[in-house]
Amino acid sequence: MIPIPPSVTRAPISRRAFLRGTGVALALPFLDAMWSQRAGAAAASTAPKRMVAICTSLGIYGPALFPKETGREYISTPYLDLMKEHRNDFTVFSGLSHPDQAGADGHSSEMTWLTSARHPGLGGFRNTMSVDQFVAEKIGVETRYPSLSLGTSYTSQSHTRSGVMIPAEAMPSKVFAKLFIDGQPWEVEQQMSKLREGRSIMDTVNEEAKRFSARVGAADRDKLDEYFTSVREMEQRLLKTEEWAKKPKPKVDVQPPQDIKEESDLIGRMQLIFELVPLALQTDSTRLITILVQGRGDVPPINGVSMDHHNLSHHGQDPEKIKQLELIETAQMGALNKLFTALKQKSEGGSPLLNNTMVLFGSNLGNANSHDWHNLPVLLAGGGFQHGQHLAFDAKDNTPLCNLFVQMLQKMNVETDRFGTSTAASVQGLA
Amino acid sequence: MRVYRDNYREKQMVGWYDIPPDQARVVEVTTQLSTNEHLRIEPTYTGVDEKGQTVYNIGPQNLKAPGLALMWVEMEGPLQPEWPPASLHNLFGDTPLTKLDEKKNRDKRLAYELTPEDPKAAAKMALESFAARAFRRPLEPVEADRFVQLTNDALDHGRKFVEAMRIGLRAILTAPQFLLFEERPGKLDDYALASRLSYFLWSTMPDEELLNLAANHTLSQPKVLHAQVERMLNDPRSKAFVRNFAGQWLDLRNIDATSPDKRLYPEADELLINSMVQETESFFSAVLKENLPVTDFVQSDFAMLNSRLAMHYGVPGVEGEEIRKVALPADSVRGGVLTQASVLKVTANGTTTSPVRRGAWVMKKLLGDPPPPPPPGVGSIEPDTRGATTVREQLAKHRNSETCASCHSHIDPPGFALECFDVIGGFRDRYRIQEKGELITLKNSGDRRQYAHLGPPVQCDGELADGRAFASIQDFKKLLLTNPNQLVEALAGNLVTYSTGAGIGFADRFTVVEIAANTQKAGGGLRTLIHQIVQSPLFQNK
Repeated sequence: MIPIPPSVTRAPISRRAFLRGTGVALALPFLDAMWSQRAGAAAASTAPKRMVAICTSLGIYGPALFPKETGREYISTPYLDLMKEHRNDFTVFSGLSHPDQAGADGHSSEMTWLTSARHPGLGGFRNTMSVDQFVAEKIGVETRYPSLSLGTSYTSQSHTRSGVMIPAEAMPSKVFAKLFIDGQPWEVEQQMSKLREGRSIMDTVNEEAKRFSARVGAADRDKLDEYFTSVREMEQRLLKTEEWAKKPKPKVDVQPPQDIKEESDLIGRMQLIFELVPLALQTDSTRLITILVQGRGDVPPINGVSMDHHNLSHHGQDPEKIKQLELIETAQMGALNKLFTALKQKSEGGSPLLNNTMVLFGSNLGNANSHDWHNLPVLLAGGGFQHGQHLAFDAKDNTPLCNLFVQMLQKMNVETDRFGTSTAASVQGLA
Repeated sequence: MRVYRDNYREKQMVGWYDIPPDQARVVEVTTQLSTNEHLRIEPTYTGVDEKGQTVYNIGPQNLKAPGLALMWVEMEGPLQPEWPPASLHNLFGDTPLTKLDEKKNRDKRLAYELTPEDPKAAAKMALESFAARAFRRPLEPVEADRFVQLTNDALDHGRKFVEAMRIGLRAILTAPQFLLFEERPGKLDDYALASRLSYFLWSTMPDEELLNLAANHTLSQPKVLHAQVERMLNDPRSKAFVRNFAGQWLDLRNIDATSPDKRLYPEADELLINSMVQETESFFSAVLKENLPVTDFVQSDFAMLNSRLAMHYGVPGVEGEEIRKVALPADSVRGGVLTQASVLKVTANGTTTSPVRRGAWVMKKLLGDPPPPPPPGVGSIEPDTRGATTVREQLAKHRNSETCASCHSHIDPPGFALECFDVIGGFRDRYRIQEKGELITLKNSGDRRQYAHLGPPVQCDGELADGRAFASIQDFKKLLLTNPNQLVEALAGNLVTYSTGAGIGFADRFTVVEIAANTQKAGGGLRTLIHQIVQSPLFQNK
């Protein structure tokens, strides 16, 4: 755990004062003491907003997840029961999906869950930007890492503006080191000298552009303005990165995780990754995390499960297969429940970390049995929304999942009224 | 048979090949495979029986339908012909190369390093020659020094030669002199002219010959310019002009913007979509190569087809995947770009066609007369594929309203004429609908299941704003051809914008009209038009 002094009711310290006092520039965890004790609610609203998106790629067995009733009075289901202590902290959605996800094969939509690009993998397909990277472009420089792309394999859900996948980090020990263990002095120096070289290149071309500007006509100077702007932005970014490189990483008093060697232990590995989430967020090392839990073609070490996960997801309505699938998914929901608990237990400014953290959980397949990408399982927790309901949309004529994304983007204070295939800036019923 | 590059996540078609029944054929493919990619070979229109069962699911021994048999596959590579590669010599001249000690070297991606005797002298020489090529002109005094300084600083800090060189090279490639055109107001100097010409016709930097002509100040002489345009158009690099210009002018870049509804148009496979773009690019190339009249873009007596397109258009006797010139019968609806599947696809969505959208496209792209945007607050027409009303019936309302009619009497007629082509450019006399009615049987589709039904008849007659009537697409094209000057002027305007990177100002309009008139006097050919543009003050001045 982070060495947090117990909250003391006295004059809060400003970040700046704290910095001066320590005499060294530190990457500051959001310490409780820095939140004004009197104006707790107001301060909490200025805490950074975070977004975590978790996709489990083999679907979730619908009948065990979706309640039959809608609204606040829904009767819980086996899966939601596993998280009943958090019932008022999440909303379960049905009838959401991305349009036109028929792709190269039944699982292609796992690369578009956060992008909504149409017809994944078919001829001429090019992915678009994922929702986390869209935010990272805007606020990424605020934190040491603009975003973290995690997963149970190298495949992630994060895609850049040009549609290129950002490979996922699958080893919890490496993520931990990246977040909390400082590099060797020579490694830091090497990175710094690369950044300095980048800045001297920017200096040189900036001078070139001034000379260039004097030689061309007025019409071309507009174009040059764009050039100057991007040079300036790049300089800023290099500078910020350099500052981060100079600062020591935050310290947490948790033992570095031991990676699980058993690849088939999907749930165990997923659990370890989940445990890093509250640490990364509370130290403000990043505000954006995506996690892809990629179902596997082998048998997970879970009591009562004798068939492989992928095969079970194609249960063909065989009761025995459904029973085993439910065992796996129950374990997954249990891991999610623990994540919610951990995010709720940590507090900043007197309110739980979960209040400033949106956790989106779901799958790119609605019914994995038939590779159906309609009616996706979607659950949104935290972030300051009024939760505790089942919001059901038309199962025959789905509402775009991107409508929810836009609402989440706005919650992140990103000014936009559209994203991907959105048709509206919010989903009905969520406030 | 189709060949793909595949990395298990995405696949890109490398090519497709007609395999005649019961005849073996050797197919040779040259392609670049990235890490983790493999070749994937798939049968097309075979390997599936009447019930829709595929060979993958039931196995070849149980398939009661034609299939594809592969006899052997052979792969050869890497195709890099020489070591060290020519690019190394281009960059570093004769700087010696030393093999790294395999035992000591920890970075296994490296096997050699550059070991100049005097690193700073070698860096200066390499950066100066690189900058001159990157900036496409001789360097000004001390211009290169500022980049050399960056590399020298890094060398002084103890960086290795190649690492230090990278810094100077990166700066050159980030500099405005490389990224932007340096065109001073007034008459372009010879180097700026060489760049303008080269990016116009090759989409890349000028070659040595152009730079030599710029150096001895002869490039801007009319005869020299003429000879250079001929040389450049005959060079394979001019393919980039065809692809980029046709891609923007005719919106070919939007070919994948929508996917045809699989239930209505199951025959819209990737062979067809790929062939569509190839057809229009090949057509443009043919008009360019043979200096055919610009009016051929409206109506030609030939088409550029392969077997897939010929099947789509119902033109008999075309076998094989290679695109070639095919003479069209006199009464054909095809000929020109308007009736090519690519154009008909990019002017439709995946489900329905709209005469308004297609009509506006014809006015803007072919006639150079873009219609004004619709006034705010007017509704758009609601496509309906259930078959109750046709788009013609819905549009009739427009024509009865005087305010709408003032624009729509111009916009709608070209769209009406094109209404006889569906969203993938197939000829139709009845709409396809999703409900009720007679099912359509398609021969040219891999998907044998039937979903689409025959809907109401298509009406494609109309009347131009000036009252001249047409009964068919053939009639409509004849009416367009009565004013060839307008067609040439419109294309000239697009070419000038493309080649100079600037819009046509009001004063420039007269020059464009003159360019078109001169072109028409000399036979109206596309190549002639390009010569006229290059020789004009619009092209040679900033």
